Amino acid sequence: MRILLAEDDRTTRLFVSEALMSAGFRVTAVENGRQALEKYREQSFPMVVSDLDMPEMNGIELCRQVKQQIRDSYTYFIMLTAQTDASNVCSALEAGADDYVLKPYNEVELVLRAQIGERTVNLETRDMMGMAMSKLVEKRSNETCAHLRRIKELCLVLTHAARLVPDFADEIDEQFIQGLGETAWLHDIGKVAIPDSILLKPSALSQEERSIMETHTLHGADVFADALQRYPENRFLKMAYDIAISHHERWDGTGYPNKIPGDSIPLSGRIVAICDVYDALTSTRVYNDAMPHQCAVELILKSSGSHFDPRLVDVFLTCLSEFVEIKRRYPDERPEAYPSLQNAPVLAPV
Amino acid sequence: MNTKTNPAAPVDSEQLVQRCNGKVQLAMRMLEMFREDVVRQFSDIRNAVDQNDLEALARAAHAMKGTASMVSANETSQLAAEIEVAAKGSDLEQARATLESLSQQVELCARYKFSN
Repeated sequence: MRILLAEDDRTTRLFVSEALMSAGFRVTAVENGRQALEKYREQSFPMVVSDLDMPEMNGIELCRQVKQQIRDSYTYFIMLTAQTDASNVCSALEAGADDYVLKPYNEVELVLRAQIGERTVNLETRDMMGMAMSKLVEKRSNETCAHLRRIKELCLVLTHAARLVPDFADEIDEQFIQGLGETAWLHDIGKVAIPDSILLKPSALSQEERSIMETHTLHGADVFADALQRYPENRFLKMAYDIAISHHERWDGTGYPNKIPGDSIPLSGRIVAICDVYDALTSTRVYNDAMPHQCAVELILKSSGSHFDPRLVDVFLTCLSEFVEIKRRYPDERPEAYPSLQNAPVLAPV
Repeated sequence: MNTKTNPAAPVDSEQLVQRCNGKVQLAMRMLEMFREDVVRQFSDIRNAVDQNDLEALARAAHAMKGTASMVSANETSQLAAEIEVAAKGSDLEQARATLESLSQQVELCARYKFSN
């Protein structure tokens, strides 16, 4: 990550530059606030590290100006200040600084603080990417924004409940829940690669069309594969990848694309599978009408151990009222958008 | 010269190297700069005292305090802090009184050779 450093004292400037560069940051160093602001106007930086007391323009004023100029993405601001200037800390935070480090700081602390900033900035980027990508899914497929929102909420309800079950308690931690909340709605992103003639077809798909439709899991995984290769430790990407590729696998190993059974299907994929089917059954789609809640529950119960992880179906049965509430809270905005619906076959209650 | 057994050393080199996460080369480069800068900063302080310019004095003392603390010239930093406080409290007499001790420290700093 690029960092703009403003520090008038050259000894301190050398120290801070070296510390940040040794941790892999790319540092542009200048001598005062005015120079920093000029640099920042030329090219925005995701992070600014600035001394507080500087000639020409001090850190407080620089911080205020930088925060005013933020246009596209966030700039994280760390103020460097002397130990004795407690009141300056408040002024810095008031001006919009995100963090401060007291002199004399050491390399380890400085780097850790900068890494906090990097995480914060990346969180924002991740959130933006997630929103943009889900919008892409919405634009390209017949699924509404409300469906994606419901999938996220349904998955979170099911996951929170599953956490209380000993079988899942170890795997489901805070990071798992957060990751699932951010990536569940990207499960069908691979549908962007499916031709309209198949994706929007109001009648039953032929065998050939069905196998093309099923490749949306592979296309979806492919969307995240390159990024995952570059950032193999990133749990967000790993989960997005897992969900995209595995949410149509079945517990008995007869799903697609890889026909993997049982626990070898990622837990995130097994959770999304139940929620996605529940929401599809109870929503009006281009190919069928909405089914009453009770019928959908019975269908899922029937598929316990064949399609779905039976332990997760048990958990699902404990949160039915929350599922109904989520359906009520996020209704589809425009069911009239699909005129072909009138001719669609109505699925008889099971 | 081992600073640990020499309390009169103007720089706590052990602390400085620790601050640099063990990078001796970096510590040496910082000290090299500091040796020049501390002399310039001291003349800023002396000029401000001579001209009774409290504002300039506070600013110059503040600058020295920060630089010295970063290279673990702790006594120098402490004396500079005292002068800064005196200047902010408009106590030029107190600042003058501290100037002599600071002058000695600055001289030690300017002659200080790093050894590890």
